Amino acid sequence: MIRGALLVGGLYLPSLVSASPWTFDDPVTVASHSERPYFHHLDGAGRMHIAASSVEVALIWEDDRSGAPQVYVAVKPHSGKSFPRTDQVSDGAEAYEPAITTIGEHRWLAAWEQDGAVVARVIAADGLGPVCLLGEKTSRQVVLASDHSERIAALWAHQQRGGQLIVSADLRVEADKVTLAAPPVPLSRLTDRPYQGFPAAAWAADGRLLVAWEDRRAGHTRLFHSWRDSGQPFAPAHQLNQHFAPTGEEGKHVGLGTGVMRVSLAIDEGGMARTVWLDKRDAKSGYAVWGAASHDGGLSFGPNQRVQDALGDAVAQWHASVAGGKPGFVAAWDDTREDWADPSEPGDVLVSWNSGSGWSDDLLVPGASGEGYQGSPAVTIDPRGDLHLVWIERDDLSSPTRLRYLRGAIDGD
Amino acid sequence: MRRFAFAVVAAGASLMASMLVGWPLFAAADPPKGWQFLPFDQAWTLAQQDQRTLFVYFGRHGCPSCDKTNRESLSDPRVKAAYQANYVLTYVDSESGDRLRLPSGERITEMELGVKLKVFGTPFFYFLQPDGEPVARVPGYQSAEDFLLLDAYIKDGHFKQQTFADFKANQS
Repeated sequence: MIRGALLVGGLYLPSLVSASPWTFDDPVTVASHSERPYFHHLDGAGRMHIAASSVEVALIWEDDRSGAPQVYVAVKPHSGKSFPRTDQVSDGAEAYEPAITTIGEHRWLAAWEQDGAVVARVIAADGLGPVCLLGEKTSRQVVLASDHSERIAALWAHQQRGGQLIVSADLRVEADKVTLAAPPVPLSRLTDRPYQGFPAAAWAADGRLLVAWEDRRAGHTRLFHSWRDSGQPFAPAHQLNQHFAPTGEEGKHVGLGTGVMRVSLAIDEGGMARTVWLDKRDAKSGYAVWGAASHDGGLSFGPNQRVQDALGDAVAQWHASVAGGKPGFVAAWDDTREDWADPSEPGDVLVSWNSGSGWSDDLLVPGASGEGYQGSPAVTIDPRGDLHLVWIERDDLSSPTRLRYLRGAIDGD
Repeated sequence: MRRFAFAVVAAGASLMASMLVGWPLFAAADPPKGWQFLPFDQAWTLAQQDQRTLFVYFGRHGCPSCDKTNRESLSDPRVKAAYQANYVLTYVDSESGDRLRLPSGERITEMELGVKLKVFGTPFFYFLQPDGEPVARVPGYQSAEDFLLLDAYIKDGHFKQQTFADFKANQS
């Protein structure tokens, strides 16, 4: 419909951007409702619901098949066409917002919120390790970061003193057991009425831990970034999103700032860092996907860049995720541009990629678009450069859900 | 819900315009003071139990037009009296990760409720029947008079015959 409107208006331009670097396989259903309808969710901080090693891909999500929200994992070898099984990894009354990262071939580390605390456990080919408490009660929104040098960190939000602060801890994994390697440290000093939430994290090539997060202390939500060397405090935080105070007549500022939320952070093979987030600086159509790049390994980030193309401007974007690797970066999100006024067309998954010459035109992902809702994607790139995508599919925005996955094989290898 | 699609499209432009004019510096966005907004789960349970219409106010922390709505419209005692009498009231922070439970049993965040209901800006007001069916969705700043007209539109069942825009035009 939007393409049609642009054609009528004489504004449509043919695509100038090269084709996708990936060839997409057919999607597979990982888990779906059977006799009892249930609901899957991919809503963790940093959208770390998928991770890939050189030989396997792992998915983590929450669903309520048991009658209560619990966290499940599924692992598939790259050579396999489907996920052979799903395993429950949480062991409390309720569990939410999981994250997963690879810690070597056939080994994964998962973390999630469980009964108000934050916990983690190792997932290996021969079974699950013990559950380790990372953050005590009133903790949530956990993310993980690991690299090829066995550096592992977790960040989570901890409610305290009438607010919420993010803390970070290095983790140690020995055999099937994960433990805190050092006491958690805060991202910044405690201030009056702190509110930090929804962190994202990644290791820079030189061993610094890069972090980004939401902060509400100014009376509206801002995004910040920082970093730390191992064992050191975090560097002073800098704002990641450019400040846009709404302006009224005569250009006078009339508000504190436009909305931003849910930052995602990734590093590519060359050590460049990129973030994406949802940003409502253009208020007429809701949130859009914006981002920023760092060419100095995450010490600083450049000007904000719009990630989506102009065809997405008329609708809201949701659930933005970014991944980095051999081919550069890929961002994934969902929006309703294909038929924005039709309630029966509630969303499709789109991706854009960036190999150094700007974000591509958006691609409706084959197999993750079309009838019904296909959204809430999370994305990763494996060491070979293949793209792996997981998302939620449902007939409409109220119906039971299916968890879907597909691979995009990198072209030219 | 389809009948409101056109209203939403038309309202998008007015929402943008309304977000660009007329608010003071240091606006905050929280529920208006003195109103009895309930947590979403509790509100929906009460709406079902009493067979009353649910009024959902989607706001955002720092939203200037929410602040304007609170100060100029929801502070009007006529609006407050009508809405507290006729509706079960709930406030949803459209950027919040706090959780709520839908009547289907699905547990989602306040932000995800906004995704489901296509809340593309704030403030955004929904009137939901006790079974969850939306009967009106109204984006952007509304004056006290608009809120009173909306109350008449919902309470007297005009939503069954016409859009709010048509109803409003017929009143003038």
